[in-house]
Amino acid sequence: MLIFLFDRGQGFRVRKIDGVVDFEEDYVAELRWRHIRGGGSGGGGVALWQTIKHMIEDGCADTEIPLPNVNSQTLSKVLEYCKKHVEAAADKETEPEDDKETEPEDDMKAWDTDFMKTVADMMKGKSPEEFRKTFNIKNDYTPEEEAEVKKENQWAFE
Amino acid sequence: MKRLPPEIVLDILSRLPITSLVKSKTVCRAWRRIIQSSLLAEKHVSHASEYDPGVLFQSHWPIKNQYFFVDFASYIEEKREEKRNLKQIHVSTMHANLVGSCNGLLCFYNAAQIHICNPLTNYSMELPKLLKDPGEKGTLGFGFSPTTKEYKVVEIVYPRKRPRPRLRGNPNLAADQNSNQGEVRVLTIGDSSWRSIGKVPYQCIQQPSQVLVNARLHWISQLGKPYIDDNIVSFDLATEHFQEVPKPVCESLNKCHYELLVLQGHLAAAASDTTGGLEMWVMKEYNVKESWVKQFSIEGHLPRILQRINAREPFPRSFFRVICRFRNGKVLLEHRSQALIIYDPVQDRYKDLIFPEAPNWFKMFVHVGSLISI
Repeated sequence: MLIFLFDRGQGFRVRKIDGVVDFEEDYVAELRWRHIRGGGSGGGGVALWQTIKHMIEDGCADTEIPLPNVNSQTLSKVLEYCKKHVEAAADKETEPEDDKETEPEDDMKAWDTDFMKTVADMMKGKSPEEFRKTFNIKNDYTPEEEAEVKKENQWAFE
Repeated sequence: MKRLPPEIVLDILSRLPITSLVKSKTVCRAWRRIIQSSLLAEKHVSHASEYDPGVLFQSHWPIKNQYFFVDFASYIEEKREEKRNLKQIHVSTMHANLVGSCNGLLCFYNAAQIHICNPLTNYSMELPKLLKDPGEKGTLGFGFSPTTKEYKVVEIVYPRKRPRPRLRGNPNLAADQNSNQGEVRVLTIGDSSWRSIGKVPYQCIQQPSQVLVNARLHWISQLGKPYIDDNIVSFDLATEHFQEVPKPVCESLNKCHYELLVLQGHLAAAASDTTGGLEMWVMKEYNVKESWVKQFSIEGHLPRILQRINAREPFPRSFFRVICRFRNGKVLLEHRSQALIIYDPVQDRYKDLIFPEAPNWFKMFVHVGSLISI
């Protein structure tokens, strides 16, 4: 199992692969994360962290996950995390420990707030269909149920 | 992205303007669950000051009890179609009068009946009846105290004024003074009854739209000489204490009518002038007299839409009410309950804001759309 992080001009992306790196067009190109500028925070960010963690834990090998446009410090933290995690996975007896995260709380928080604000800004004024596309979410409503939810909140859809 | 933990999805969603948030309910079941949680509703309200507010139109003519909502946080001036984005909503008012709007909840009363509702979620709750006698008049206020996490309704009640005694030393004088004492009653939402918390020596005048700043409700208290002796009085929703708030040091405010309002979270006073324009004073730092500044003044400007209709009126200019100020510095003005104007104080420019579906006559107030229910 290997994890690659690579930069295609629009930010770093992580991909777990089994030997082949595929440079196909990015299906998540819509997600253009704001660059988190310097600030010396080196914030890894819980969100980013957890995204990768979940990906690894869920064994979701064939899904590409977009990463925010991170600075090199952050990236090195992520790599460090991945490396640790992969090593841990190889040696299944030892569970990875979350308290190994050495980031100061405040930095993490600031990074996360910025991350969430960016996403929220990006979502403003979009339609539910666009949300699903952007976030790669499957619509699990039946058409009747969806119509019902719309009806309950008619004013927002007018 | 779908693998982001629910708490992070919740945080992201809580930063959306109300219209986008409600629309997101249809994305998938998991999102709807998150959006319906009370945690999200509270978080969302806490971000409200980061956006432009919403506004409610209330109209009783030609049809009674019509309400329309405009979410200015989702409003994009450049987009033409957004101009028509006036959303009719159902409000269970029972022909009632509005007390105020707070955190997306509206409080209405009708005689002794009083209730709160969230017009965007159809949530509604009846409250214990007002204790006011028919012979009393009262001033009501509704608000939230973040420190105690309580919603409260406050009622200040005065006996109806008797004719003023003509002679000095008239025994009725004592009774007259007594009529300036307001009895204060408070209802904490969730409690089963009202509490009397004593009397206050203020004659609080209901403002056109309630003035809630720093978890305090504000009124102008009129005792003694009009304007000169007027005071600004606040009621702290957490401690339930009244306090006088310094007035702006402004000559014109001692001579003319003014009303209180909230502008970008600050206490503000709008003083009408004789030309039909107004002066806008804002208290930049709460309770600091020196921080009152004149932010802008508005000349009488007649909206184009009304020029033809009002051409024969003797005073075609005049009668503005400032509704709110947007994050871009522009100001929303209402003109004679008939027209809306966006005023840019920096460039001193006016622009008519037209909602084709808007009622001909309306009352308008700031309403931050939320999903809160209590």
